[in-house]
Amino acid sequence: MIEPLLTGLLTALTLGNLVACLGGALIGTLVGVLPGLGPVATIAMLLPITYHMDVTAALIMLAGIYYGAQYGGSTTAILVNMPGESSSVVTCLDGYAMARQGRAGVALAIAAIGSFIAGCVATLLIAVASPPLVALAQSFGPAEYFALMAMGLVGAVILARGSILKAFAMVALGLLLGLIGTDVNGGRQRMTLGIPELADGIGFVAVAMGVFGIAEVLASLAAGGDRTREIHRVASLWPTRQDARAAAPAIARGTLVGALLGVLPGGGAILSSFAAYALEKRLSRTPERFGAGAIEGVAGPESANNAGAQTSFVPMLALGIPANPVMALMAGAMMLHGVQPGPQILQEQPLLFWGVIASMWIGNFALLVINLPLIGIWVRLLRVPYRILFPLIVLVCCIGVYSVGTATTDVLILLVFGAVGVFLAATGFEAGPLLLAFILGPMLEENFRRAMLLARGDLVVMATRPITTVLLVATAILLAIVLFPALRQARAKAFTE
Amino acid sequence: MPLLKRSDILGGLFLVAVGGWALWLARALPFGTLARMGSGFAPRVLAITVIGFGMVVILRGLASSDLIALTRGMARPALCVGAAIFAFAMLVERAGLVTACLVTVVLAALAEPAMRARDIAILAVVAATCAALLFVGLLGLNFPLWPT
Repeated sequence: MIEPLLTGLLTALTLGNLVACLGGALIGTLVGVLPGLGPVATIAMLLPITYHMDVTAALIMLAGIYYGAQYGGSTTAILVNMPGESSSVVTCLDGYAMARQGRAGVALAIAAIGSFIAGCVATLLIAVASPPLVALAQSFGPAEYFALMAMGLVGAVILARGSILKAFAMVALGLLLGLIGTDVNGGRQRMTLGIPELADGIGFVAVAMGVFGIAEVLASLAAGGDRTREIHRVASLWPTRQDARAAAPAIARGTLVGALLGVLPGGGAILSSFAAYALEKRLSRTPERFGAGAIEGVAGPESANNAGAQTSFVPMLALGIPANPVMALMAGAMMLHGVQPGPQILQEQPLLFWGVIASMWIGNFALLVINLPLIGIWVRLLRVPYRILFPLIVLVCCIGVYSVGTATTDVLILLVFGAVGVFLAATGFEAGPLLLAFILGPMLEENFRRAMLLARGDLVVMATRPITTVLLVATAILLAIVLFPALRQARAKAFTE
Repeated sequence: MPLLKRSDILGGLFLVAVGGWALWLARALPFGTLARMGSGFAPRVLAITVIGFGMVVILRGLASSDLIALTRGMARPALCVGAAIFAFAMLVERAGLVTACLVTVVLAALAEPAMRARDIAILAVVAATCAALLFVGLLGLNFPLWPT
């Protein structure tokens, strides 16, 4: 493991890759700081450019944007009480409270240091975990892939906030939307409404930006858009010894939670930060401090989101399964260069594999410098009012969506899904499970079909392959965990009536 | 309380409608068997699942009184941003990137009543210039800049 990591480090340190890494980290911080602009829109927009780059450099840059945004997002959350990036939502709670007490600098420093430690540990974990996973994945047939994705979807439902019933409905809807386009078996057009551009399916960039980007712009505008923002001054960056003592275990736990949840299909940065915050609050002897400036409430989630962002590369690099929209874009970038994501990458493209992983170390180190000593630059950026920002966000979404396939149909799809996103948010449905199901849909169908063909249509034969059974049982246990409390509640209700 | 303002009833109806539409669109696709699934297998199974979930959500809506969270304040932003995106789609190939950017930024900016005309104009020109320089000049993407 040490030797490949060293080769990876040498690859990442070549001039072109180093520039890509620093560039990605810088762009990531920028879009992370700016509320409303996230890594998905940015990566989508930059995807066509990466075509002109070397594939390793391209992935290094895109990865840098993703984890860079985790650093940048915390700055906005702490200083103006707005999530710069959706995974920084929980950082607002205690980070902003700390800023109001004049401890903005300490919160920023802890967030950055926590992210850095989490980033380094996560990089190491990816390096340790990937090769055995790749070896295991090589024995995977369609049945195993199907079971794995089913587990991911159930996981996404469990971890969605709000109603479980609605989350399941979103998974079904997402899978259905994913089927639109040409059937890979037999080449029949399915549900394309006779629109030739839909033959390749609905572009997921347009769907993602519609249900997240555009819907969010409208929500902020309706909420009064330009509240006068108060930006807190950054005094000393140095945490006290007491701060450090409180933050250190939170960073360790956050890293662990993030690293684990990141690997789950459907996981990644957003989920990790919520889980870490809940964990810190539960473990704390003084939970009442949370929301009033508890440093653990910043350290835990900020470490977790960065760890999660990085370990979400594992399913994509080792199994070829994109676990979230960002990873789907990464997979897209690889395919632009003719590299098929999947377990064969480790053997066929070891320099790519290890180069990307090792670059995360360099990127995280660069981000520490970008975010702490240079904090003044980002503070200045935050003074741009939202009324100037949002027309630009709308424009960036349009250009981003258009540039992926140079098709105006995609821009119209963006419009439709913007409306769908607003409707779903207004009726209490979450878009996250929909998007994951949409991304996994075609792969899920394809693998299920092949698995059933191999099993001659016998569900039992398919489900009793050893690894498949383990995965399906795990899925069933997950399901039971969510369903039983719900059942109990329903029963309790029925009894009282 | 009017039924059609309840979030679960509307959300459920939406699911039933989408599922029904999909079922109708997939009507001609062969279903096949479990061993040899046709193109219509997954669409139909999933469409029925979506309809089923929609019905359960509607039933729940009959018992709950949560209202749909759409406010009047959303009308103007929705209209302006929608028009901006639509304009971009219509203009980018016919009138070129520069025109499309100008129109999109102006229409979107109208969503915010506090924007002054001069600021909107400056913002639009700056955005269009940056977009043209970045995407076509620097990155060499194959977008038409001007009407052809």
